[in-house]
Amino acid sequence: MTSKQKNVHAFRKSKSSKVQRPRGETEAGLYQLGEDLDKFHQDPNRFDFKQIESIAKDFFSLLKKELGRNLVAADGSFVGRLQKIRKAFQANEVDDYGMDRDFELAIKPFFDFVYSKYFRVSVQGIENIPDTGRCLLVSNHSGVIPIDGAMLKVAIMNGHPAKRELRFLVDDFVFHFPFMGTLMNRIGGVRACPENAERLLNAGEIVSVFPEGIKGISKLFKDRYKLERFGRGGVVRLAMKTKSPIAPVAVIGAEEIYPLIFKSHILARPLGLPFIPITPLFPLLGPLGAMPLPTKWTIHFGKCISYENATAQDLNDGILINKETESLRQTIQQMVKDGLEKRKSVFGV
Amino acid sequence: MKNDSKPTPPANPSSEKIVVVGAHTILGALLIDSLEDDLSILEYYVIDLHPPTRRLYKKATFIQVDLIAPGADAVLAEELTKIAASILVHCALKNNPSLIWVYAHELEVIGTLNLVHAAKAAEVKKFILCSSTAVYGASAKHPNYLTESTPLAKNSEAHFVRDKVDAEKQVTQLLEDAPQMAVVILRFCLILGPRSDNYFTELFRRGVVPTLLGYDPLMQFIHETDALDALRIATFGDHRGTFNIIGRGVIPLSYALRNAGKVGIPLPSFIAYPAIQLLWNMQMVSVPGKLLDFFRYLWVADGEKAKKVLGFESKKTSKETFLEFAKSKFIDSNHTQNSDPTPSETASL
Repeated sequence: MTSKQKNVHAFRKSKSSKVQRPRGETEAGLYQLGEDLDKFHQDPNRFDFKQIESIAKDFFSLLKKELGRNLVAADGSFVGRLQKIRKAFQANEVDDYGMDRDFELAIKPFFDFVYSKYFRVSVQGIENIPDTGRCLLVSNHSGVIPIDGAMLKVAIMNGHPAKRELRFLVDDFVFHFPFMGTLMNRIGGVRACPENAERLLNAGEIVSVFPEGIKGISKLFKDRYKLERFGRGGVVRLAMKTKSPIAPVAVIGAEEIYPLIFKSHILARPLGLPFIPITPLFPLLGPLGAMPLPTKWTIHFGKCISYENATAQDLNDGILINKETESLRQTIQQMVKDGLEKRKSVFGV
Repeated sequence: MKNDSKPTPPANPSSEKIVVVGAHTILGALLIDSLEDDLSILEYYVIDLHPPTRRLYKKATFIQVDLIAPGADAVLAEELTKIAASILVHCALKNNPSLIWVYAHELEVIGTLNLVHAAKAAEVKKFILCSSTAVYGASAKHPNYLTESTPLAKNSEAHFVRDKVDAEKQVTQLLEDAPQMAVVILRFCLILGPRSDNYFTELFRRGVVPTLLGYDPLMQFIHETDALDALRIATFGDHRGTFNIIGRGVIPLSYALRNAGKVGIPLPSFIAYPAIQLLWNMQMVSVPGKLLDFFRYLWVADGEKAKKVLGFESKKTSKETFLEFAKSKFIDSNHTQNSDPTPSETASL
C-alpha cells in the first residue's frame, strides 16, 4: 500500500470512527491530518516527508471542494459562477478608507472556511472588546504570511455580539506590490502609520495593531512565542493620545503554521520583499510548500487597559511610554504562556 | 443669475482691486466669469498673454504681460502699483503636464517668482496661489489622508509636480519677506466639471484607458462649482495659510472607469512606465510615464482644515462629481445599461 492510499484510508477511517462528532467530512479530515502532523511535531526526525506531499494534495482537494460550494451561483452554472466572482472584484462603493463591504462579503466565505475549518479557531474573552467606541487591539504577530490579522478580523466579525468591523494596519511594503495592497485596502487595511491609526480611532473604530511588525512574522521556529520588541512605543503613545483602551490579544497556534528554519535576505532584496522564508516544505515542494500547516488556533482577548488618565505631559515622557510598552508586552507574553500551557496539542483538539 | 434681484449700483461695492493672473486655466476662467456676474464687483483686472475670449467681459481690464519675459517682474510691479492692486489671484499654474517641460518650468517657477517680486514691490495685501494636491506626490508611504503639513514631493521625477512645489516655495518665501501680506495657498484636487480640461479628463476621451495591473488607487475629485466657491471664500474672506480644497469621499479608479463605460487595459507596471513614457513622447497619451504613480498609489488629501478655517465643505462628493462628469461628457446610453447603476446612483445623476 502506498502512502497516498494509506492516507485516503485514514480519512475514511476517521469518518467512520468519529461519527459522534457533529462535523463535516472536511473538518474530520483535517482533525485526522492534525493528528498526523502532531506526530511530526513531536518527532520530526522519524517523519516520512513523502507523506506530507500527499497530505497537502488532499488538502487542496478539500479546499477546492469547500470553495466550490461557497462560490457556486444560484443557477449552479459555470458562467454564473464566473460572473459572481467578477462582480465581487469590482468595487462599487468604498468608505473613506477604501473598504468595500460588498467585496468583503463576497470573499468572506473563504476566510470563514480558513477560520472555522482549517485553523478551527476558538475564541476566549471576546466580551472584553467594547460594543461601541474606539479600541486598540494589540496582538502578537507571526506566521510569515500574516494571516493572524485576517483571523482576528473574522473573530470580531463572527464572534462579537455587536459584529464590529475591524480595521487593521498593514506594513508599508505590501502597498508596493500589485494586488496585495489593493486587496488589503478593500477589506479594511490601511497603511501602518500614526496618522491613519489616530484618524481611525478618533472616528470610533476598532483597530488592530501588531507592534512586532516584520520582526514578528519573520520569527524563526525556535523563537516561536517569544515576543519581539514592541516598536518604539508608538502603540502606547497612540492610545494615550487618542485616549483609547488597549485590549491585549494572544494568538496561539499561528506561530507554528510555517516552521521557519532559515530566512534569506539576499534572495529577497531584488524582489523588494523583507525576507524569503525557508521552511521544511518551502521552497522544497514549490507552491504546495507555501500552504500553512493546519494548526489549531486559540485567540485570547484580554481585559482592556485604560489610558484615560494620560496627560499631555505623559506623551512627552519617553521613559514612561517605554515602561508602559514593556508592561504591555509582558502582559501579552504572559497570556501567550498561559495559553500554551492550557493547549494539549499543536494540531489536534 | 443674481441680476434679477438688483439691477444697478449695489449697496456696498467692494473697494478691493482684484487681479487675476491666468485667464485660460480652469480656475482663472471660472473666477473671472464669477467676478463678471458679481454685482458687488465694479471692476477687476486680468493679466495674461492673450485676453479672455469666452464671452464679453465688460468690467475686466486686460493687462497683457508675458510672465516669463526678461524684466517681467518690473513691468508687473509697475502695472500693479498703477492700479493699486490689493488682491492678486495667481491661477496661471498649468493644469496639464507639458511635453515642452522647459517652457512649463519657466512659466510655473520663474513666472511665479516674477509675480512674487511684483506683489512685494507693489505692496499687494493678499496673494492667492492656486496649486494642486499633486504637490504631495503619490507614494505607497502616504497615510490615507494627507494634511497640509505633509512634506511636499520636492524630489519627484515628474516636472509637473516638481515645478508646482518650486512655485509654492517661491510663494511661501513671501511669509518671511513680506509678513504683512496675507498669503493663501489653495491645493485643489482633480477638478471635474463641464469645463474641466486636465490630464485626467483627457484619459477619458478614448475608449480604452491603460491602467496598472493590480493597483486600484482611491481618487478624489472636486466639482468646478465647489472649487470656485472655495476660491471665492479665499479671495473675499480674511484668511491666510495653506488649504487642501477637495471633494468629500473617495472612489476607486476602477469604479470610475466602469461608470464612464471605459475599458481599462491593465499593464504590468514594469511595462507600463516605459510604454506610457514612449506614448507620451509621441503625444498619444495625456500623462507622462513619470506621473503614473498617481494611478498607482494614494494621494488623497484631507479637507479638514479648509472646513474648520475657511468654512468650506464641498457640496458634491467625489462620487457625485465623477458620475456627473461621466454622464455629461463621455457616457452614452449603451454604457449606462452595462454599468448597472444602483438606484441611489441614478438619483444622483
